Amino acid sequence: MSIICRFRSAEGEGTGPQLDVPVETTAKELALILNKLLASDEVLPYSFYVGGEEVATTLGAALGDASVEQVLEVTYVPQAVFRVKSVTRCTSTLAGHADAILHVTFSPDGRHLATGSGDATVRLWDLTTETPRFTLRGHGDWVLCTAWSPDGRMLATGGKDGTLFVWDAVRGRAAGPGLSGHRKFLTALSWEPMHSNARCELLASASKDLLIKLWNWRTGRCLHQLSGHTASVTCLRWGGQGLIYSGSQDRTVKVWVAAHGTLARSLEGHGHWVNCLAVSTDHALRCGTFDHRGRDLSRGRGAVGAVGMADAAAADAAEEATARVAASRAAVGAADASCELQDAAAVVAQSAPPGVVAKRKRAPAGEEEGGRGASGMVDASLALPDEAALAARAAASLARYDALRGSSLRGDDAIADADADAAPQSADGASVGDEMLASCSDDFTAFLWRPASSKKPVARLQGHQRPINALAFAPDGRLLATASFDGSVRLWRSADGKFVAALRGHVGPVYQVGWSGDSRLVVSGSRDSTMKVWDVASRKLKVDLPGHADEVFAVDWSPDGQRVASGGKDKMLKFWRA
Amino acid sequence: MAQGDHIDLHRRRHGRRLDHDEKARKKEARGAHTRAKYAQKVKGLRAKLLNKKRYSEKATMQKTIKEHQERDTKHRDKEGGPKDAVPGYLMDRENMSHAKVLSNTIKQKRKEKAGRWNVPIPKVRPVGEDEVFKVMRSGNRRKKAWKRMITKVTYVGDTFTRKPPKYERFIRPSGLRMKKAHVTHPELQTTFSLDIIGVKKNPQSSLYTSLGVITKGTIIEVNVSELGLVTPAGKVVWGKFAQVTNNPENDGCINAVLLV
Repeated sequence: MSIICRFRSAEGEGTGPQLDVPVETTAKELALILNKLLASDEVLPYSFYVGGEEVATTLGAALGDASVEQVLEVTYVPQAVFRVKSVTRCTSTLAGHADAILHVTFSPDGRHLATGSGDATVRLWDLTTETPRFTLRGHGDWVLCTAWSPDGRMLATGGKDGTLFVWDAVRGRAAGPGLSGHRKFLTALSWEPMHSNARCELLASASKDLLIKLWNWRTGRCLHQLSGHTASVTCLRWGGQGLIYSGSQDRTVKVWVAAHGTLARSLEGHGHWVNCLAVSTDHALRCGTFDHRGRDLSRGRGAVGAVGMADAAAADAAEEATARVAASRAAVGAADASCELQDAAAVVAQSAPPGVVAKRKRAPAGEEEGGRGASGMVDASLALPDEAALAARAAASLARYDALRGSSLRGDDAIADADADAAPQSADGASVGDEMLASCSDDFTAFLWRPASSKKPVARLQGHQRPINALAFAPDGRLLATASFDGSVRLWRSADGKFVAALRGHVGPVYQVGWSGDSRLVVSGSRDSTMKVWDVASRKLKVDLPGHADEVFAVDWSPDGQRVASGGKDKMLKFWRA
Repeated sequence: MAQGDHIDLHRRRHGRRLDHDEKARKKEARGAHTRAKYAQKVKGLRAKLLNKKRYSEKATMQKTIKEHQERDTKHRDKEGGPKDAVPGYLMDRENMSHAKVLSNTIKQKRKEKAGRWNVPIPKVRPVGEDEVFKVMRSGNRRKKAWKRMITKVTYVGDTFTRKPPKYERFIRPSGLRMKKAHVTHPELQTTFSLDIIGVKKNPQSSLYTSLGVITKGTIIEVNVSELGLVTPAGKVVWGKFAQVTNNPENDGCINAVLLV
């Protein structure tokens, strides 16, 4: 049997003529046809959707109840050009920490790794030789959270004693005295995204003492104190639209305007503690200007070779934006203005980045003051690069951010709209271009929101049978993975929250989940002492990674895709490679 | 009117004697002396009963005093929270029974091969055959004596069917068969009632092992799947060894400690 179909891009434009293809055409064959139609030089990978259903095996299988009498619209979405090899073995087991490892994070460029531990030290590890590099002492109690600045030079850590340290990761020493101000332990840290301030000097910290504080680590000053939660703040994200999102045990997710520290809206819906937040553009926010090989996109065209789909677009846009920077000083504002705004509230939120830009212009004076006040507290080696470099960085990361926000979300909406029951994003007035926020909770569900414009949830993700502990958006923003205490990892479509797959295999609660840079693999760490790598396309277990002698508390996949690091209760740091 | 109620009725009508409270107080105050006099004089079974009663009374009293003392103490509890370092997302959660991953399988296999474990009770009192087996006499004139009845607790698997009595040499009385053991996890300091899977080794003799006789010091295998233990490879452990720490035939239950 054959069927008449037509390709449609994620943006909704038709591609090529109507084609008469047999129903047993596979996704791979469709990709070949499409590459021919698009006259691309090499065969690029695509995924195909029919009425919101992904073509996993053959066209006929994905057809469902779609009529074969009509022309079938096949939406294609480009996938990452590069592939991350699945990790398969443990290459080194590093002792050093004297207590359980609680947090593991790779730097945005994938060159450094930081671990926070119960022995009150932070350790930095040399990734090329997989040996210890620096031991950073300063905390008085367990180090609960670590976060890298988007430029990959600074590391912020928060401890159980409520202090916050910013470390110079290159030299392995503190960049200033500890920032104390919280009364109880810190639960989360988040840096200001690169595209709104390339100086990387602002960060937010959340604590059990109900407060969120915004810090400028150069001056050591607390800029704003966001109060409003009535129970411990459990998670925090500094979004790309000038908003700060925080989830709390008081069952709400609150959205704050970062520029003036005011509450924008409170998202209600959860019935129990909110455990974790994720933003659909997390990958761009985390990696800043670094691409999937750890190269700096702001360093000119030479860096752009066979970069990923989103990265290539980002690099092009970066170039364009850099040109604009040269033309006018308000590059960020201009680029931002190019984003279409639909909602008045969104305008308020969106106007934040220009505000930050304005503040940046004032900043040098303030910084000098701060420097004097704190008697040369900030190291000379941490001096800022020149304004042009900063502008280039901001432009590059903004372009990347916009590319990810646009490509993933617009594309997905196009797919979702093809559904009979189209997602109601437009119905409740939410702007489609806004980044999405996902929150998960102890009430066994997760919510999807468009917090910049609406306080109504986009979708409620039901299916888990125990509290959901962690969730993460895929780097391309199309899928969402949730890890639950019921031992399963579930995948959801991020545009409308449709359930995609349940990945079962762990025999204990799953604590953490992470994505590979190409959005094709998911890694999860569990209390059952193993980690597992899951293949998203086949929705099956790809590799089982036993080796830890006790619970795995922290897992991270490096942004360059080279390795996975994990740490747990057995005090060992393990590196896993392909 | 019931017969005994006339006293009550009288009290209701006329009230108590005027010196009633005084007399009651004096009687109670004298009570200690009376009790002491009785305790010194009493002998035999009555003495036993009295001592038991007094012991339990005193124990209750001690407990009550202690409770009152605890209530009076001024110091606050130390800040609650787990002692071992846990990540932020587990900080406010109730202390789940964190079962450890048990020592690695290779080690356990090696031990199994040698048939030797580091056990909590290394030495056991030898139990002779005459203690374990009771000779059953059979035959018309009761002169055949080849049958034995086991006088200790045994574990008998679900699939066991008795042989015809004519051929059955060892009788394991159903009253002394047990299927559950109270197993203590030495690190968690918690006790679970777990199913017995089998008798791994009775140190007294291999015959006892094959018969499933459980005496003090016997290594039994128990089903620990509900403890949530996992192997280093991330599989659920379901069988673990435990050593019996009491004399089950005296106590009517099996207490054991898990071998980690």
